[in-house]
Amino acid sequence: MAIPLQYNWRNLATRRVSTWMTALGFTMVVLMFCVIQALSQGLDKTLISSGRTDNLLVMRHGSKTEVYSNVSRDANRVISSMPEIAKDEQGRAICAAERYLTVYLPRGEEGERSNVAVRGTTEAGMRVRPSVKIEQGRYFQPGLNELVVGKGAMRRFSQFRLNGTVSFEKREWTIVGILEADGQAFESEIWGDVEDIGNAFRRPEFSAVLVRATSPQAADALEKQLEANTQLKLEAVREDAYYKEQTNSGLSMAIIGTIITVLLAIGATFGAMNTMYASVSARTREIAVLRAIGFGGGSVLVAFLIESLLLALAGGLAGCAISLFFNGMQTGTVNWLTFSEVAFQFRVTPEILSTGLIFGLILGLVGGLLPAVRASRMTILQALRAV
Amino acid sequence: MKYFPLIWKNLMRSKRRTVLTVLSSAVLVMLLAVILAIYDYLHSPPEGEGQERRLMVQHGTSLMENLPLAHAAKMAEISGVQVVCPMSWFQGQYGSDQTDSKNWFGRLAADTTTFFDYATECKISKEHRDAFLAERQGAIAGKRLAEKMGWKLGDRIAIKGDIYPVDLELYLRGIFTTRDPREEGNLWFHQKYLDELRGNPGTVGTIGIMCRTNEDVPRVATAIDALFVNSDTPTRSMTEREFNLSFTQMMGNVKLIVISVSFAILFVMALVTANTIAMGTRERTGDAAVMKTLGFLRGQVMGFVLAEGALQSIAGALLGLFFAMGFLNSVGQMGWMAGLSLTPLSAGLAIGCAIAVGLLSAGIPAWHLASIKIVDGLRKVS
Repeated sequence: MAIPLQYNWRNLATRRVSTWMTALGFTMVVLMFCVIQALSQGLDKTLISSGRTDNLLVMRHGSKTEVYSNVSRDANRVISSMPEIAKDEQGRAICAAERYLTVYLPRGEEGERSNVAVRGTTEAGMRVRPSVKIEQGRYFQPGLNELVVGKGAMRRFSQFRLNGTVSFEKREWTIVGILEADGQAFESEIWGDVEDIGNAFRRPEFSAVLVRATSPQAADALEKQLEANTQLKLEAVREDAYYKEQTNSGLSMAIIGTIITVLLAIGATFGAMNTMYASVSARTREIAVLRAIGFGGGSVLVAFLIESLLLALAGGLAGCAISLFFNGMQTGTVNWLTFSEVAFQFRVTPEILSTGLIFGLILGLVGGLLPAVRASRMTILQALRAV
Repeated sequence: MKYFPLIWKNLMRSKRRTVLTVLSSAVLVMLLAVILAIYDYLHSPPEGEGQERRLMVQHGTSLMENLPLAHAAKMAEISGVQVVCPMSWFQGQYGSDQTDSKNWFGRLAADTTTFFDYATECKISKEHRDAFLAERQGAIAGKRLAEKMGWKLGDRIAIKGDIYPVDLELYLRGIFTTRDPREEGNLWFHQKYLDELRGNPGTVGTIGIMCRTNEDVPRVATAIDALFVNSDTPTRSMTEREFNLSFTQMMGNVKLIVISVSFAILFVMALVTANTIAMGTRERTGDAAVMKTLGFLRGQVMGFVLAEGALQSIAGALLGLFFAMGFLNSVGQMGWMAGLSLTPLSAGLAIGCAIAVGLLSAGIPAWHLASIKIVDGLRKVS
């Protein structure tokens, strides 16, 4: 027969201080878990969701990123005339030859500097990336040193203002628009006209060409053709695969995050175990009475386990609730492959919250198990003797 | 400390409770120590002899851009400049994609006429040095790197280029050692060889400057940047230390993360310690009453409890540091964060925090116990 929950509930209410402190321990652990996961998820989402599977990025053979790649104007002419490239309703090829480089700018007025990606492109840049939209202002016009800045970059570099200016490469650039791209990597970038950027940085050649293939078979055909053309020395990679490669940047963060969470959890669990043991010792009399009345050892075990779980549940719920404050918080780190900033946000998803809660409950179970076993093993005689 | 046996007996009253508390503190201190070690690692870049006199000059706008070699000659004319060493970070890929990321190491080209005057921390035998200098495709590697990769002198090392679209064919001609193990993870080869492969474009990645004295450093940095500020390729000069730190900065607000996590750790530690001490004192109201009857002062009773808290914390902290050092040693072998270790300062900081937390959390329960009226205390004896 099960011991009524009221017994457990009353007990927790009586030893208030202990209850609060143990629950708070669980809160910290679950909070840490959720926040670290949210950080990882945020970075992953930005990188993994970037890129389409029907877009191909054409770069110089052997370069791993757009940063180190170059594609000549002649090569671009060859690429853009390939029949495998899709055309939009107006018959224009969905194909963008771009220049990609990084600029070292301070974050805020006197902030620490970091590399931000600058992409020189045309209106084709938006055509080949339909997820990119102008959130405020308008797209840049060629020849006027105008820029469109990604949402994430705007937040990271607080000195950027819509209709304000930025200076680099000995000229002033005007920010005429803010671009949003559903959380993708493009929100960390600054876009400008391809020829303006080319002139300013003295880059006669393009960095890479992004094209849309008419079909998956066409994409394969395009890849093979470029590989076969030894004169051009180009290679094509699927855009989504390209960005997915870059998630390795988050690997070390994830490892450290896991170490922190695991060790913190172990430390807190030992504490919880202590609390439960003390609780069992203090209630020897009660256990004696319960056993004398007729509750079996199993019921006692379950009762103490439930108390431990209740503590973990309360603490865990609080931890999950607090972690929601972090949701959407803007941050950034460096993409080690392109050496440029990736702006991303903490993402607290329902999966993270539920996993965090379950994690907390498991800890409660582990912490409460041995003490509960101890309580259940106490023979009536032992317990009564302590009265 | 004549009361030590008393304090000890009290701690051993419930062995299990004391052990669990010490273990909990140990795990948390271990975590704190590891976090501090990672922070140290990121913020204390390798220090070699002469490092304080070195500057790194890169392109003003972006690390990705190259500098014209012609700049080097002009820099040499600035007073206070002792050595000018152009170099380029090659990167590239060694072996297949998977093996490369597992066995990553730095690959750099340097102007070998000035390299050894610049990189004063590299200790190399004259034999190896001469062999390296004599061969256009020669390369030298740090001892740790060579051992890890199983290279022997004369081995062919092929590196496929990515930043520069050329492939290298190098032959190991020398092994060098440095005081800081991190520096021994690099492979150096001739800038001339890279230039030839690229068709002599006349550019390099960065230029390293060794100044005559420490005082010259800031002046030279400003002078160099001023010299090229209006040219097509402006420069940005910074001390070598700042240059290394700039990579850490890029990672994000590491300081903030470390502080937040440390706070969380210490908070949980405080909770666990306070809880256990409080549990202990609740049971010992009778004891406290008896002691006060005997004539012990309130302050002394409080002192006993505090001493218990402190002892538990110290034991936990020492155990935690022991675990941390073991953990850091094994991580250090894996090469990812080679040279990760606990500095005495960080170790002291970890212990200090643990003890402070122990004392503070024991404070309130200790005070409660010491303030108990004798009558109330005795009443609770069952």
